[in-house]
Amino acid sequence: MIDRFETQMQAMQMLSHAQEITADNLANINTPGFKGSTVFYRLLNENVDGVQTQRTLPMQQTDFSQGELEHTGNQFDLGLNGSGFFMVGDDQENFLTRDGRFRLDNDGYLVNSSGDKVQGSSGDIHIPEYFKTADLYGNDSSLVIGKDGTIRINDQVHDKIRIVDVDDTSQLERRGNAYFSATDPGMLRETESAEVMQGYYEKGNVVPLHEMVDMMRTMQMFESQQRAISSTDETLSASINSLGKF
Amino acid sequence: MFRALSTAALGMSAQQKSVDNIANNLANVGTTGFKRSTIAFQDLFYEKIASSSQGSAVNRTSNDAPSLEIGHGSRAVSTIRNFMQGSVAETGNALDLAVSGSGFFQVEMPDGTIGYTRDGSFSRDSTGMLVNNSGLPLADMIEIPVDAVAIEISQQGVVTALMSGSHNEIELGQIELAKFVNNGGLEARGDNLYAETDASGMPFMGTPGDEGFGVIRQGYLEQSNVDIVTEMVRLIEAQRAYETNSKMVQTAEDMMSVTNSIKR
Repeated sequence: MIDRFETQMQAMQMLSHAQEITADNLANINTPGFKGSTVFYRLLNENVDGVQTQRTLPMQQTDFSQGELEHTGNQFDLGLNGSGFFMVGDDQENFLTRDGRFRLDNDGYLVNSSGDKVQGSSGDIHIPEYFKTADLYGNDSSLVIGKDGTIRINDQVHDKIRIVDVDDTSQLERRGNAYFSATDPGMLRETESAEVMQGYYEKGNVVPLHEMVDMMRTMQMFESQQRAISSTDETLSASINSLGKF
Repeated sequence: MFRALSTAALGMSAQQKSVDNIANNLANVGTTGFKRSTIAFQDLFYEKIASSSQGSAVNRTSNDAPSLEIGHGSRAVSTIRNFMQGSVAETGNALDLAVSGSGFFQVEMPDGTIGYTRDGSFSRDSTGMLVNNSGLPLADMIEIPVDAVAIEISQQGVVTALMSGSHNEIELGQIELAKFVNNGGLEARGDNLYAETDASGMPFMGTPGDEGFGVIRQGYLEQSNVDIVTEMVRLIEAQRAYETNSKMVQTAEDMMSVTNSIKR
C-alpha cells in the first residue's frame, strides 16, 4: 500500500517535468531555429524481487521538422530548407544550429548573434576581402551565397558554408541558444540535401495548438493522479482506523 | 519550486520586449529615415533530469532510464535593425535630401565624433551652415552664403548656389556619404542618428553615385521603412505568444494548488 504512494508520487513528478517541457516550448514560440520537443510515455514492465510492477516513463523527442522561413532581405540571414545544420564554434567546441541570423564581425569573420564563428569547408569563414571589395566597389549585392552554401564575392568563390547532418537526430544533445551538439563527432556527415536560402531565417517550429492541448492533457493527468493519491490515502486510513475497531 | 512557472514567466517577459519594440516601430511610422527593428530570441540552457528521478524503496535507479532535457525558457538577446530602403516622398524643399541607396549622411556630434543618419531634412542655421533638425552641422561643412537665391544639389552630391544679381553658379562643396559593411551593427543613438561600433566596422567614404552608396535626391525625404501591416502581424504574434505563456503560468499555479490539495 505504501508502495502505491511512491508510484503515484513519481507519476506526479514526471507529469510536472512534462509540463516544464511544454512551458519551454511555449516560451520559445518566437525563437529562431528553435526545435520543440514532445513528451510521450512508455509503459515499462518491471520485475522487482519477484513482484511484477508496471510504471510509465516519460520519453522526450525533439521535433526536427522544418520551421517556417521568413524573408528579411538581410544578406547574412541564412535559412536552411531541408534537413541539416550549420556548424558554429568557438575555440573549444563546435555546435550545430539552424538559427542562421549571422553577421560579419570586425575582423571579417562570419559569426552568429552569440559571436560564435560559422564553419566553412576549411574552418572559420573569414572574408576580410569583403571589406576590401566593399571599399573598392561598395556594392552590397556583390556577396552572394548560393543554395549549396557557396560564398561568392563579385562572382569569385571564396568559401563554402559547411552544412552537416546526422542520421539519428535523437543522438543530438540540446545546448541552449538553439544549439545542438553531437555526442560523437563521428556521426556527423556533410550533406547536400539542405538548401541555403539567403535573406531568410528559420522561425521556431512550435505549434501553439499542440502545446495547449499537451498542457491541458498533462494538467488533467496530474489532477487524476492527485485524486488517486487521495483515494489511496482514504483506503489506507480506512484500513487503519475501521479495521482496528474489530 | 515549479520550473514551468518561471519558464513561462521568462517567455512572457521576452514577448513583452517584442511588444515594446513593435510599439517603438509603430510610434516611428512617420519618422523620417527611421529603420525598423526586430528582437532576436534565444532559448536558454537545458537541464538533464533522469526520468526516474527518485531512487525509491524498490531501488529504481536503473541506468537505462532515458533522461529528459528540460529547457529554462527564452530570452531576448539582441535588436536586429532592418536597413531596407524606405519610400521616398517629395517635399519640394531644396534642402531636403534623400539617399536612394545604402549610404549615410554624416553629421558632426557635439563631442566631435561623427554621427550617421538617413534623415536628410537639413536647414540653414544662423551662420549659414547646413545643419540637421537637431542643429548638428553636416560633416562636409557646407556654408551657404546669405545672398544665395537658389541652392542646387546634384545626384552626385555637389552643392551649388545661384547668387543674387548673378547668372553664374558657384560651387559650395561636396556632400560625401558613408557606408558600412554591416549596417546591422550600428548603434542607434536616437534623433535618427547612428554611431559606428566594432560590429558595424569602419565606415567607407564615397561620393554619391559611386556603386552601392546611392544617389542624393534633392527635394525628397526618405520615409520610415516601418510597414504597418507587418508590424501588426508581429504584434498579434507577440501578443498571442504572451497569452499562451500566461496560460502556462496559470496552469503551473493550478498544478501547485493541486499538489497542495493532496493533503486534505
